[in-house]
Amino acid sequence: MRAAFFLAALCAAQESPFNTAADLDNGARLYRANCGVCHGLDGKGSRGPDLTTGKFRHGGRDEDLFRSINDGIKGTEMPPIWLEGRQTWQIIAYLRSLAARPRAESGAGDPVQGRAIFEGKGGCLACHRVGDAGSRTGPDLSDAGARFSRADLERDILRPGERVAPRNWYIRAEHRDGRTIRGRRLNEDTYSVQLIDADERLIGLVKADLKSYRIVKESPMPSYQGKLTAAETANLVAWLASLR
Amino acid sequence: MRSPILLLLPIALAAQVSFERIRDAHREPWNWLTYSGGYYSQRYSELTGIAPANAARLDLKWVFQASARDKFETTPLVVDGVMYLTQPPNDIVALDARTGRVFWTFEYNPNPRADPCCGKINRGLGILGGTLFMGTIDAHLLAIDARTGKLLWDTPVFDFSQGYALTHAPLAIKDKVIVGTAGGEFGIQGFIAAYDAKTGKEVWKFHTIPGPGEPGHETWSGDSWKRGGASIWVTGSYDPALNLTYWGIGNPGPDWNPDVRQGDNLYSDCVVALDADTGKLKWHFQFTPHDEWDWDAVQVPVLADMDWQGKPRKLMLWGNRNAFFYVLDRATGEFLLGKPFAKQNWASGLDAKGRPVKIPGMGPSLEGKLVYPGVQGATNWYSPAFSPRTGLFYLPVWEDYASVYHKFDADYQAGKRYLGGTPRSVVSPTRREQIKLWSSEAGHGAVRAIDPKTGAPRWEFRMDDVTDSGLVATASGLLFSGSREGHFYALDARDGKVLWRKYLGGQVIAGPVTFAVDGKQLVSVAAGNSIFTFGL
Repeated sequence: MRAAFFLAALCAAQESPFNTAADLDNGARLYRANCGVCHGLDGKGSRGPDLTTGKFRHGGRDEDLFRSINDGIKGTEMPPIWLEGRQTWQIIAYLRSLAARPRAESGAGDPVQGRAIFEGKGGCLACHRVGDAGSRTGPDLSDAGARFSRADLERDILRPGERVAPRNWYIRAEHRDGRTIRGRRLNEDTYSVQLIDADERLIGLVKADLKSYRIVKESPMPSYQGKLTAAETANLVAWLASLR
Repeated sequence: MRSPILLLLPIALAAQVSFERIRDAHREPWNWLTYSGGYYSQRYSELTGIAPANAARLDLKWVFQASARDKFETTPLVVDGVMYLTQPPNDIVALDARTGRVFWTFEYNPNPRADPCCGKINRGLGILGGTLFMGTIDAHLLAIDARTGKLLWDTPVFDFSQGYALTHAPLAIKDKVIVGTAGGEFGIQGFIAAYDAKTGKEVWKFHTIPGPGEPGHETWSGDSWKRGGASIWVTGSYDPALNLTYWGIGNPGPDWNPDVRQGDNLYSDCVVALDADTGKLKWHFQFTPHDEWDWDAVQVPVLADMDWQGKPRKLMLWGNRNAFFYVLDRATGEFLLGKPFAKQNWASGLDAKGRPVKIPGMGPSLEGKLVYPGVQGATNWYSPAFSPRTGLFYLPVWEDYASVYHKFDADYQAGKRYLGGTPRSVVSPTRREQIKLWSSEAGHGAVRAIDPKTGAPRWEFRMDDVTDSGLVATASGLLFSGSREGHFYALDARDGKVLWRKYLGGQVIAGPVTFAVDGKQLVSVAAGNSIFTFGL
């Protein structure tokens, strides 16, 4: 536990006391240095979720944000960010200002038609899961709208190889017994690798038992460029963006 | 069956670990009397019971499950069949080294507001006579009766609320016990101090940042020296013949905004040689002048007596966080050799005096600067080992590892972190993640054997994840290492081949120790929340 925890406790149920223009400026600067790497310099998310929606999955009160920043979020890639309390409040003030901006990109596309593409023509459920439908072999998109900006979603549909997070890397291995094994990599160390294969089986492999072994960092997803019309793509993005 | 008198004898001896016994620790290799196994800090054992030929038969003897509430970084002491260890934050446990069963525990409750960077941890104990010594995270130095676990004295070393803490194992020399303060991330003024082992009264104090009027003070611009850090994280070494004690000193503060502290910032990132009786500085050597990346000289000084270019010489071997390996003359501090041992892109080399030739523009920036090695360094506080038998220096290494270093304004508030920036890297700095998704291209661990005479690597044992484990070498030709992944290894000290390994399931973030009970050699290591002990 950190000093920040106690500071957070002291400040419980308190809103950001740093809301001047100078605080916002400093918050923007601190955001770029500390948060932009994962959440995007515009706050619209990349490795981490979009922070411009005004909705925060781990609590949206100022004190929740303070705690999330200082302590990190267990079970996610969000690490603790060690800053002065004042600086943390300035970041929170900046995040509030981002959420208050009009979302120019919202409203484009028809999510109902997008869902039909997702479940039909697009064949997306063959790899992806939404709620309790679809496959577990590809990334679960049940909360895609909370994690990715519309621009990111469109890019992933049209140019899926551009951004493949390590959690979506694949393993291609040839076992000494002749089997070829392919699956999404879940964990790895010097001697073993853990994965989930296309039949949704959890498989643990010992590297010494393999004839060959490779981490595939390219996306196995096909590009939908030319396969969907611009309107269909917009509809699909709208459907995914609505998933939260 | 032994007579009762013989059974009692070792326990009677256990109460009296004299200075001479520690000085000559190599003569009783069945014990482990200091943090690094002896004053030379070689982590080398004369024991030969476990050897390359039989290491494959190593078997679990016992497990001690600690109630560790933070990273379990303890290195045990072993004195005549009794093992003493700490469990975080500041408990001491005495247990039977044969069975793992506990004789007594000592519980210390540090002030709940004590919250040092980085973790409420403790690395171990010192012993002298019949007394154990432990530093606490709220900056107290405690003396405890090794037979009963009773507190003998409690000396507040400094005000913890300003960021001061003691995390390393104290070093007992003659009639004194020496500790240095952690807190380099809080704008402290670092120091190393000696206390009377009987009374706990301070005998001398060496300020790791020179005050006004002292030589080196001019290496800090303005009043930046008042918040300059330069803390102590690991135990020093001692040369009895020279009566010098050697300590590695931590980074200058704020860590990543060097603009506010122009100059070399002595004695940050230095090794200092101090007179053990007076604390007076004999010499210093600075590895990273005007550090911009948090590359503390937070390593155990390894002392070796070797031939150097045809003549016997008193040497110091040092694999530094800045990715260079150094050989120094420990009588004078003269720089003899320096070579990079891992990927680095911040210096074009070292000059004739060992000072790095920095490549311009590699410091932290608002946008971020990608620099090798990353913030944890090419090595860190993980203990190296030296084997006089192989003549090789063994070092835990982080290879191909970088951080993006960001800089921002640094505002000092007493007791708060004073960092001036932040580094980012794919590799988790200290904690094992249960799920490890990044690949070893973003950084991986290794144990490397370096020939001190040339600085050239002799062999490497590569791991997929990075390593936080210390090492121990034996006269039989073994090298023990753990890993962040949770494996524990017996390597062949000559070529790095794995002779035996066991998956312990918890991060090894401490150094193994080897000792003997009833004439049988054992090896112990902390992993996860437990101490695992193996033997034949």
